[in-house]
Amino acid sequence: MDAPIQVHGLTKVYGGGFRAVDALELNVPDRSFMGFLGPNGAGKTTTIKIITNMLTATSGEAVINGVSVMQDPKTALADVGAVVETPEFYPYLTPMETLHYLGALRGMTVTESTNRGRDLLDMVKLTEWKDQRVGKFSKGMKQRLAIAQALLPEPSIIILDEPTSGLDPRGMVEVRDILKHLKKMDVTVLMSSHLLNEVQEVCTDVALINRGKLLRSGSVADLLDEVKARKIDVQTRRPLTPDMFDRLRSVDGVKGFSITGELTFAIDFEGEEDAQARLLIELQNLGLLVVSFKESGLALESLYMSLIMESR
Amino acid sequence: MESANVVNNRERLPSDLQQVMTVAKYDVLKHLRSKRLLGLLVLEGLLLGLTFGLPIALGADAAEDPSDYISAFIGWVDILIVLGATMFAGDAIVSEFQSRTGYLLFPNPVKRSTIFIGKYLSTLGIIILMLLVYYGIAALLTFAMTGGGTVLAVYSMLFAFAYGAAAAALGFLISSIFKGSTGSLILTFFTLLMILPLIAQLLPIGEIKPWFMLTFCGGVISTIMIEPYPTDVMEPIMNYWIYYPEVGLSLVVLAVYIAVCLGLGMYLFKRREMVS
Repeated sequence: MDAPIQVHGLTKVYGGGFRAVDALELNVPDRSFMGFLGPNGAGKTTTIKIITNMLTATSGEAVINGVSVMQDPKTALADVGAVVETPEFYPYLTPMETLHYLGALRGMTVTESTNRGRDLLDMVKLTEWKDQRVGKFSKGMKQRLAIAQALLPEPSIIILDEPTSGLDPRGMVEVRDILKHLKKMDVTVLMSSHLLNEVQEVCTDVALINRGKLLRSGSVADLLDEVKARKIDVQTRRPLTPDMFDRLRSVDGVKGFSITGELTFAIDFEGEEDAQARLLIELQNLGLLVVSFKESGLALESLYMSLIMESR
Repeated sequence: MESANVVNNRERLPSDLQQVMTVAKYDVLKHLRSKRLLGLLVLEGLLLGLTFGLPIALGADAAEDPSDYISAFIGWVDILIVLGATMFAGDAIVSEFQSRTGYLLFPNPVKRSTIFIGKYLSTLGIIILMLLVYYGIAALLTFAMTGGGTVLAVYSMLFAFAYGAAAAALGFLISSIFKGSTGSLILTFFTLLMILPLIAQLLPIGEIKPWFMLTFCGGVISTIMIEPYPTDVMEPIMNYWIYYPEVGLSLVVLAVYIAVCLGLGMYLFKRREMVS
């Protein structure tokens, strides 16, 4: 089956000649949860804005479910739910009225949008606010409502632009819970982010871009296989002292380590799960009293950084 | 093969006309819940109250002819339309960009032109509602004081609707150009209240009849209450022309303003990019 989101030779040149997106090629596989990664200014949001018809491309094409966004945006976006940047809501409407409005634009009856809206507001934990006007909602509440409106028509494609950006820690946790929920649904998701641990946690696929060009795309598992070195964060009850350094370096698979705190350090490690288990035993044998031992999720970061550096 | 959701979501998409009505409906709700409408209705009440009550309080003789009596109320309609066009049209488009609500609305399967027309219709509806309330109360007060009414007031009101439509269209055009709401509101207000009237007053110095000026055409709202309808005259002492707008020509001019302003405004809105 063709990829539901296809981007061909997409280019966006802003006034002044700044090339935000440069002949970008991207295919988002069906039923995948694709993380769209890149540093600030890489062209992620510009690409998403073009795909959602908020910006005009200088050249190239974005196709959704076989329909060109440039030629027929109304049909192309019919089956897309999107959260771009942090949208503002009409302050005079309640969450339920907002869903009625957006539902009506998509041909949903009031009954349909009420029933679906009730479930969605429950999912994003806004049920008790459903009849309050949005004007005084916090940023986190607005972001959750934004995700609810994106899911309203039960779209098969969901586009999220840095959904946890600007949220406080609690807001980030709440939105990440929703993202994990999305992962279980039968939908295709394209999510831009520069939070690599977030991407590694929820995404099945990843596309890395810099300076508007695609650097690499593929499944997270495949890309991580390319990165042999992993980082393991360790927390202990006793400090790692210099007399233990040589013994730690001699453990099979350990490539190096760095002290990150009085009772924490990170190990650069190469090896599979068995080797990791042996490393844990060695650490215990050193008498460190290990409290926590986990892969830091920075493997993707290693790949990301190397690709970004190569592209400069 | 496309999934059931794709087909369902595409098939149930409403027509552009249905979407226009949806946008208009929720935009009217915005106006009805806004302090701006409330403020204008309070202002209408003040104008009606002062025009009605002040002569009584001062012991002045009230006009006995319904046309003369209601003319005092109709003299304020021009400024009410300027305020209505400013408040309901002056930032109608720019606010979607400045307040970032466009990020919510634009990724939906709805054309920009649909949003533009829906918003314009809602603004027009609110201006008409505002005028209906004003003319309705003015007519009731006139009936109470003179025991009669005049069909000329109805003509004046219908022309006020047309002028309101043109003024709102100008507001939409300005709103499509500006980057900030404040600038757009101020320019709309001063264009209708000062800039265009000033030009219309200066042109006769060069013996040019300002028939093409929007605010000059708006003069029909009051002038239509005069019987017979006046024609241009040379002021004998100061030796300059006093021009009066012609009803038919003014209607055509208003229609041109509506078409040009809406067409250009829609074009600019469609091209405008949602950049932070």
